Amino acid sequence: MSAYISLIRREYIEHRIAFLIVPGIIIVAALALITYGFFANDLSLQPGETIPANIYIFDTVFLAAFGMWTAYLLIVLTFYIADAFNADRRNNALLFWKSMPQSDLKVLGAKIGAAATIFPALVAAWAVVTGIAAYFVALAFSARLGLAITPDFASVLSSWAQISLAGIVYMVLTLAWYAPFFAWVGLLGTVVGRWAIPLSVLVPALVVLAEAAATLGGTRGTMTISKFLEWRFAGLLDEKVVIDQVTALQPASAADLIGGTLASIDVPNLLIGLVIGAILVWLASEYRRRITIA
Amino acid sequence: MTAPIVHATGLVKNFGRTRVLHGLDFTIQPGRICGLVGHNGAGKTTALNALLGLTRAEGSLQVLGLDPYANRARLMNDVAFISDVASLPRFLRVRELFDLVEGIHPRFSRSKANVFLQGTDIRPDAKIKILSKGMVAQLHLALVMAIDARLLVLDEPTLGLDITYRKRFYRRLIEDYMSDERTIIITTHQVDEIEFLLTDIMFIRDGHLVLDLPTDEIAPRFAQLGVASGNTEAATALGPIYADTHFGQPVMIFDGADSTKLEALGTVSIPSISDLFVALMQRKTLNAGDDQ
Repeated sequence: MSAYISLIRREYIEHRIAFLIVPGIIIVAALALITYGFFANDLSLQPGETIPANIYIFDTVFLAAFGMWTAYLLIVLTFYIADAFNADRRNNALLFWKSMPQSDLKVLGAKIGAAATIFPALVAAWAVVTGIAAYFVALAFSARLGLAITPDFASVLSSWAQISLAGIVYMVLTLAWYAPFFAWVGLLGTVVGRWAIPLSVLVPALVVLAEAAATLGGTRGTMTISKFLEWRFAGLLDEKVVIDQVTALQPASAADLIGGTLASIDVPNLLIGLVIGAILVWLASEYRRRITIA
Repeated sequence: MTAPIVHATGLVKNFGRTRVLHGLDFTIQPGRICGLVGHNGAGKTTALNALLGLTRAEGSLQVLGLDPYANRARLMNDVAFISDVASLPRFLRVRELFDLVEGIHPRFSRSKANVFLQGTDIRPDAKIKILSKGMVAQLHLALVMAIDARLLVLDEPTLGLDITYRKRFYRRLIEDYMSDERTIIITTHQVDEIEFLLTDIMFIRDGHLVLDLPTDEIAPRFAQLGVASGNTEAATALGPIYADTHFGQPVMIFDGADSTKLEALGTVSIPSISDLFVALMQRKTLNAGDDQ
C-alpha cells in the first residue's frame, strides 16, 4: 500500500499544476471578469424583470460552478491520462521505472488511482471554495440590485454544505460513468502517446461510420452502437433536477439533488463500464510490459 | 556449490529479421564482478536487457532462479541496474526522488544514498532536470548503490563523467558496495579503467560470445610476445591470434601457446584485457569490409 501511495504521490508531483494551480487562476480570473461586468453594466431591474431572493442566486451560481468544475475535471483528466500513460517513455525514463520492483499494472493502476482520488479531490476542493466566492457574488449583486436583503448566513451556509455534498457525489458518479472512456484513452496513450486523444474519438467515429454505412444511416437496420455511444456520452446530468432546485425557491437539498442524480443512473451499465475500464487498463499494462527496450 | 546468479543457455534475440544474439551460453556465479565487453551494436545491452526482464529472448534464461521476463517486478527486489542513459524522472527534486524510491523499493537505504552523495555538488532540493549530465549520473549511481541488491547491473555507468569521479566511483564500488553476497555485471567501453576490478570477462561480438573466462585464467591461457629481432617468422609459425607492431617491434598475442617456446622468441608478458579485446574482437565492418 505504501508503494501505491508513493506512486500516486509521484503522479501528484508531476501533474499537480492542472489540478492545484490552474483552478485557482481560473477562480481569480472569473472573479475579475464578474467584477468587471458588475461595474460595467446597469444592473438595475428593468420594468417587468424580477429576481428571486438572493439565496437562490447563490444556489444557481454555485450549482453552475459545480457543473463547470465537473466539466473541467473531465477534460483535464482526459489530458492527464493520455499523458500519464505515456509519460514514462519520455527521456528513457521507462528504464528507471522498470528498475523498480513494481509491476506495470501497479504503476498504471497508480495513475488511475490518482485520477480517481487526489486529482478529483483537488478540483472538488476548488469547487467548494467557489461556493464561498459565489456567496460574495450573490451578496454584491443583491446589494447592487437594490434588493436590500442581507442574505441569511445560516441559509447560505446550509445551501453551501448541501450543494457541496451533492456536487461531490455528482463528480464521483460522473467519473465512474466515464471511467471506461478514461481507460480507453489510457490504453491508446500507452500505445500511441500524444495521438491518444484524437484517436479516442476517431476510432469510435469510424465504428459509427461503418455502422451507418452498413445500415444506410439506420434506414436498413438499427444503429445500435451509435445509439449506445450517444447515450453513454450524454452523461448523468438530469437538467430537470437542477432546474427544479433553483426554481423551487427553497434552500438547496442534497437529498433531492443526489436522489435525482441517482435516479437517472443506469447502475448495471455503470458497473459494466467499470469492469471494461479495468480490462482496458490491464491491457495497457500488458502492452507496457512488452514494450521493447532495445 | 551455490546456485548461479545468472544461467543462460542458447540465448537468442531477434529484432524483426535481424538476429542480435546468436545463442549465448554463460553462467555467472555469486560474488563475481563480470565485465561484458563489446563494440557498439555487439548485443551487450540487448543481453543485459534480457537479463533484466526488459526484453523477451528465446532460449533458457534464469536470473536468481527466475525467468526475468515473466518476473521482472519480483526480480527487481534483488536486482538493481543503471542503464547507459540517465533516465531518472526529471520532474522530481533529489529529495522527492529519494522519498519515492524509499516508498517503492523495500531495499533502498536513504542514509546510504546520502552518504554516496557526499562529495558531490548535488543539493537535496535541486530539480533533476537542472542537474548536469554528470550530476544526474552521480545521483543515479548513488541511488542504485543504496539498494541492497544481490545483483547490480551497470551498463556504461560512468559515461559522461570526468576521470576523477570515474575513479572514485569504481573505488567505492569495490570498497563500500562489493561483498561476497553481491554480484556485479558491468559493461563499459573504457575497459582499461575496470579491468583491475573484474573477476570474470565476457567478450561479445556480433551477438556471439567470443570469450568467457575468469580473469585469473587469462595468464595461464594467453601470452603476449614482444618478438625479438629476427624471430618474426618463427613466432608467426606458432599461430598468434593477433599481430601488431609497437614502435617498430612486432607484438603477437597467443592463445594456449607453449610458454617455453615463446620465451625463446622474445619478451613474454600477460596481455591486458584491453589487448585481448583488440586481439579477439577483429571484425569486418559492414561498409568497408575491412578488419578493424
